[in-house]
Amino acid sequence: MLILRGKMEEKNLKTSVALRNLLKFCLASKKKMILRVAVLVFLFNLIELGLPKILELYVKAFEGEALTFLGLDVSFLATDNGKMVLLPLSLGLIALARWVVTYLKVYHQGKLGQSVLMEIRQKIYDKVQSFSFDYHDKQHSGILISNLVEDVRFANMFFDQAIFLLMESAIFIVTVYIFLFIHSPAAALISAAMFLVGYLISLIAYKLSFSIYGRTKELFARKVALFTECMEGQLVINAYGQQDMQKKLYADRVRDMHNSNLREIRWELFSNQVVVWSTQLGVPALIFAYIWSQRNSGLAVSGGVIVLLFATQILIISKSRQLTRGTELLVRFAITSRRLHEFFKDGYDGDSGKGAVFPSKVENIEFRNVTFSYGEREPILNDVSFKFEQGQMLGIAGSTGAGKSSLVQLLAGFYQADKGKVCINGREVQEYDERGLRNNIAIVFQDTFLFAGTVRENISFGTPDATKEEVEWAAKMAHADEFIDELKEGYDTEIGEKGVSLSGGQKQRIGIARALLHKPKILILDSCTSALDTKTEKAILKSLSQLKDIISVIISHRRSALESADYLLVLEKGELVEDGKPEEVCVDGSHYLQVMEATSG
Amino acid sequence: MVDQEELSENEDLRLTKGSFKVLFRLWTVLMPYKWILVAANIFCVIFVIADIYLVDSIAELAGRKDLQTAGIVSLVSFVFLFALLNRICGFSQFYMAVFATNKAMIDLRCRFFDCLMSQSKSFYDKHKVGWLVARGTGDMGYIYDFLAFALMIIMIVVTYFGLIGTKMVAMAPRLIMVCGIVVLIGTVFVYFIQKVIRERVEAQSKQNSKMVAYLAESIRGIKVIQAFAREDYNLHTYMNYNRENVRLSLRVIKMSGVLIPSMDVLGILGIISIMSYGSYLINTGYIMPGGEVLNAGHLAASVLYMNMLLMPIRMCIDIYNMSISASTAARRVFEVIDMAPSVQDPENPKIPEKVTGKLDFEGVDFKYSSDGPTIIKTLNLNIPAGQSVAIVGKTGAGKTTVAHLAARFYDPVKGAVKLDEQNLKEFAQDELHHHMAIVLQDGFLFSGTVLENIRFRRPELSLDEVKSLCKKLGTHEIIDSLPDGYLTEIHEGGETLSVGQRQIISLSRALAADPRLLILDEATSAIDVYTEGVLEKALRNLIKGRTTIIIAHRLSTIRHVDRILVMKDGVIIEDGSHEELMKLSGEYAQMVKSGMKEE
Repeated sequence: MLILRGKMEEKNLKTSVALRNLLKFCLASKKKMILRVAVLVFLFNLIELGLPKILELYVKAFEGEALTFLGLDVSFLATDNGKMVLLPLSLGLIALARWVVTYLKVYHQGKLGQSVLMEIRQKIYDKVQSFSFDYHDKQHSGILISNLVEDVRFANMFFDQAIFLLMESAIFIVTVYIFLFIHSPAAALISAAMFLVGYLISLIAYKLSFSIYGRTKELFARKVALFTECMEGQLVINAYGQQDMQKKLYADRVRDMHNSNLREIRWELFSNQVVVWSTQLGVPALIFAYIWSQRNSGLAVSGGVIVLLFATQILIISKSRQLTRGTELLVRFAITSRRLHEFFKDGYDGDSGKGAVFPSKVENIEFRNVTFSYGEREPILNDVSFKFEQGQMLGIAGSTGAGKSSLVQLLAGFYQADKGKVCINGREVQEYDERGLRNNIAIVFQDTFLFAGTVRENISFGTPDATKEEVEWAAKMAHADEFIDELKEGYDTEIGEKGVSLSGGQKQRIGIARALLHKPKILILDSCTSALDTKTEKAILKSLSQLKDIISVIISHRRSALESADYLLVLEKGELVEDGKPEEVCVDGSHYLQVMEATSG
Repeated sequence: MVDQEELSENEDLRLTKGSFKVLFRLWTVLMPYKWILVAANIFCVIFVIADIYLVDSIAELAGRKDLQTAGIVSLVSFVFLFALLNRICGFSQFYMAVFATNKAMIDLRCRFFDCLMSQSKSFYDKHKVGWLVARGTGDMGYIYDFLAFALMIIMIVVTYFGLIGTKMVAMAPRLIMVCGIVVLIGTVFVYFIQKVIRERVEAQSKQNSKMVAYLAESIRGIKVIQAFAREDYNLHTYMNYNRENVRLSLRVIKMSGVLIPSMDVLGILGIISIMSYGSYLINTGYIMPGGEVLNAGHLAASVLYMNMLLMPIRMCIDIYNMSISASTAARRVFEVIDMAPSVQDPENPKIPEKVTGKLDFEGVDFKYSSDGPTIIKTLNLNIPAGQSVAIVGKTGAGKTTVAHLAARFYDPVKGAVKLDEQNLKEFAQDELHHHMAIVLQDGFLFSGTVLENIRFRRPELSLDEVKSLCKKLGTHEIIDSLPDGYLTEIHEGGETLSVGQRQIISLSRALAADPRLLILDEATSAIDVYTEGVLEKALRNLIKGRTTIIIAHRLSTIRHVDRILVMKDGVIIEDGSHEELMKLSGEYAQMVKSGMKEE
């Protein structure tokens, strides 16, 4: 599968570099916000330590030990009043402070995360739109969509929680060990050592399990792909009696996926369990270390300190879980970041900058020795030259793979010729301002892509500010008004995936109306009248010929359409075999007639 | 791949009696692995017990500093033991639960898919692919979460509450009242906040799917967007989606910003009340039910217990949410699983020795739903073996329905469809479909190579055999000229190929199946000239000697068939060869004259 192949290529880029670049890109403009969050996290952690401290004081108060807080004598807490009112009250204060700080922390973290995500999404969208046709030809839209959705989801998880989990737990763990060290150096050292060993092992395990994460994801995608395909092709499967075969295939994929998922869980469990074990077993270790060191130096063992140590270690356990969870999400995000990083720098053709202004009237269209191929494949167009300067309509004939579509897409500037020049009014297409080019050349594709929305929205897709009259004019010109009027809600009928489904011919007419409303100087109809009957096609071409300032380029397989053109190109296997006025081309034994004969049976 | 729009449907946000039934049925999926689960539950209980004893040992240590070295060593060893036990059990119960769930999910997923595969066409008429995919991905995800975690969480919660409750009652019954009140307030509070959060999450995820759908649509329609230079406008629209999404997400975050610290504060309040009240009890020299005097160690233990109880409360909320999602998901999944296919196999299917392809419709009536309009009205039609028949007529005339009845995608409401004098209902569908092939308008292809697609019915064919078949059919050249010839990879239903190429491959696939009955649903609507010539030739080769039903829009493509039927409103109004019908100068002649092609 394609996804698989993609994975292999990606390996070349170092993940850490990709991650660093991506983080830099995402966080560079957010320094202030980050600082705010960091301060809040630090405050939060300090408050967090208040609870074990109070517990210690509390137990000590009952045991009649000396009470100190930050080196101050606070023995007044040992009185009844202190035990029953002051200590609880101080806890209450801590609770209140904690409430405020946590709320602020969660809110600001959310704000930071969301603003980063918004930027990433916006950037992705912008990027998608800026890609050249080349890129979209190579990418399958389904895979591109699911990859992007997936990437955004992981970015979401990362910026929503992981980054803060990491930040918070890292700051906490440093603070807590300083805190522990003050109370019992021996206990702090042993607990820290155990934790560090555990965390290091888990890091190594995460690194090793890198590929497994990717694998499950990929198997999941494959399973969904098969499922979707079987749903879509159910009729064919049924008709060919292949259900059992597909069932077996699906069962295999499901099993593979779940087994890989289990494998992933085992690694994940190992990685985070190492940390949990090392901290959990830290409980007896640190208490033992404390008692042992107190006895060695001849000091009394304090019950209060034991409670404090225990409560603190419990906090460490829960924070270290956060840390491993954060690390895990980081690892996952790192995988995605590689792809995102690639995506951001990939396939960008770059704006040609400010180009020439598109002429107000197209005088001529010229191809000079144009050769063109998609990637490294054989040339689609080979040394094509012609000049079209008289008349309004250029017809293109030829069989599949002859290069008709490529020719018009070169003209529209979607691709660049490998060799030779494509000129409008004597100036190369690439020299024109890209925006101007798009605004003045409209192309209608064979399959009209309808967007979810009303008929009106679809027609005014290229010119969202068009008036009602203009839209209706365009529909009339494209002979779409007839069926639109018959729809229940006319121009406001919802179409597309969720609305009324239109026939091929109706879609094509909407496509043509869409292009006409755009008021182009050059209108390209790429086989987009195929689903129309001859009569309608003729009528549309006739109304086009009334628009004096539009040059139409039409690809069709009907003689009636082609021969109403002023100039005709006949392509065969990428070469221009005939061109001229229809009456010149339409002579006995011409390639044109041979090609046409096949259909008119 | 996943149709995001379909994921967020109007979900019922409450648990009803029905949901419990569904959830209970969901457990049965786990039944084959019940011993693993029993073991997991035992581990789970030990896990909680070890956790509690850990606290007890610490309290013991804190409360008795008069202990000798031996006593300390033995107590610390206890702590060690409990810590170790806690980990081993925690680890084991988690893995066992996940293991059993993964295995059970394999079964459930396959069962679901099997049921889908045996559904008849009427099912697929009703359910969109996106909807079904959402069942197979999103819903299965919810079910997985529920099965893997809900049981464990319930066990954990119950054990915690039970054990800690008993312990505290044993210590000081009045203390537990204090704890109980705090826990109760906590639960009510969390319940209400969680409700608000759920609603907000719902709103956010709906908005999110809209945004994803917009992105997906933009990618699919990118060429149009670029061709019309609408990038800025779209970017702006997307920005609005994006902003709205951030706004809604922050609404959720604000609410969790309230929930999380409030729970903590509640916990601390609990501690405060235990401490104040406990101090008072100690001062008055309270004697525990066991006869011991209450001391500071006990109080510290109570405080830690209190803390332990707050985590399970949050877990309860998780289960509640999981249960809602899972029960809705499971209801939909089981609905599909329980649905009997509308076309059923007979108990004792007949297996004919040889099928010639004679097809008869005897007084057939058909409608898609019991209260819908009658699509086919008393159709009587005899097609001798090997005859090719084209059906023409306007959209809605019932052409496709006739073809689908012949393939037994549906059963007639009245009358019978017979193959070789035998009612189709007496065949097993597998057997029946073995004798037929269908070519659809869009030439649906599966991912894999072209070769695999062609030998779809008969995977045992070798490349050379397929090649020679295609040569016979006249499609070899076109297939060979694809980038990798017969080994060209096909993606996403053949998106990369032209419609003509897809149809050529579908026709070859039909030939490779060597059917007695062939159904072509507008299979020659291909658009370009060159392929069209090849297609027609292939078609002529293909239908030779096979009973064929062709549904055609383009009249030019069906002149060579043996017989043409003109349908109107579910009735055959003309029947005969091209010449005969032309002579009749009825509807057909009219159509030919007007060069009608479109529907």
